[in-house]
Amino acid sequence: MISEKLVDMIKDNADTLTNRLCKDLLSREETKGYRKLNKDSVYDRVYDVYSRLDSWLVGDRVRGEIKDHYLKLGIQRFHEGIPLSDVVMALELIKRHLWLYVQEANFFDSSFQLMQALEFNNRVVWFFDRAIYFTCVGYEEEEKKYQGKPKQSIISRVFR
Amino acid sequence: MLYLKIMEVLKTDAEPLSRRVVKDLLTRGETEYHKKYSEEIMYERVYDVYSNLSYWLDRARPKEEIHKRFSEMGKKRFQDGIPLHEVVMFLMLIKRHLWLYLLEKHFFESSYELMKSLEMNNRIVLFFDRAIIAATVGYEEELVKYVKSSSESLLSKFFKKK
Repeated sequence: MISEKLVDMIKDNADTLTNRLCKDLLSREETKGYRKLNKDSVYDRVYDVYSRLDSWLVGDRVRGEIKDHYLKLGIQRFHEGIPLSDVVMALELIKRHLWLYVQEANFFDSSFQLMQALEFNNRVVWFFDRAIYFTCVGYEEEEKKYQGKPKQSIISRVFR
Repeated sequence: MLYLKIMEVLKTDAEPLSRRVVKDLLTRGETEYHKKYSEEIMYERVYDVYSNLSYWLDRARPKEEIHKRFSEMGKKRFQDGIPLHEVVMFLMLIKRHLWLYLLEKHFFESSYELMKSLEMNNRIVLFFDRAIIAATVGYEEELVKYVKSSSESLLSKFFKKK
């Protein structure tokens, strides 16, 4: 039942959405860890989430794929030295901007469309919950490996 | 109106809702570490969130207050030895069960209620997003403190030997 219109809209506007998000992400204090990365690479990472979202949401992807993808992402962010709270905030912002964009489009004028929007919203929330959870698992597992010999993410926070 | 109805549910049904979450928490593989606590302790922790939710969802409530409360929670969970991903899942499950409960009670039937439910859903999601971030920040601060003190004690041991 999920609205194809909404899913298509995100896919077609992934570039606009990504630019908005990058601007927010790189100017916020809570996500300053991302400022040390190249702007193009931040763009690519965010674009990757938005452009894949259609297949994550309509169920083409199995749960295991979401798990594997975000476990790896957590491991990667740990090695880049980005604090986990920044990574979680970045994922929350991707979700938040997506919803703001959908609301701006304002096409919920019937009960049926509202039901679709509600279902879409729940799927988005559910998807990002899993993404955040597995990112944390991947990040922490990697952090554990370096216990006793703390790697850059912990060291940079201790000495920053 | 819908907001008030939901607040009423939180007041009257916080107990059965909390029981549902506890049951889920204590049986899931993703929240393994929580199983070391008794059902009553877990109940108190979940109930504490539900019974105060109307207070937290009040728009007049400053964000800083939410941050302070949940970063404290993150710190405590670090001291308890609970992995951060379980702390995150704990908060996500509280959010998810509340939403399922509201759907089950058929809160949203007319177009107007549906419209309001979207607004309400976003308000709840935003609150839990803030709580999760704050808990993560608090947890990390505690972790950094721990790493710092461990490396200092290691250094002092090293220099004593010399």
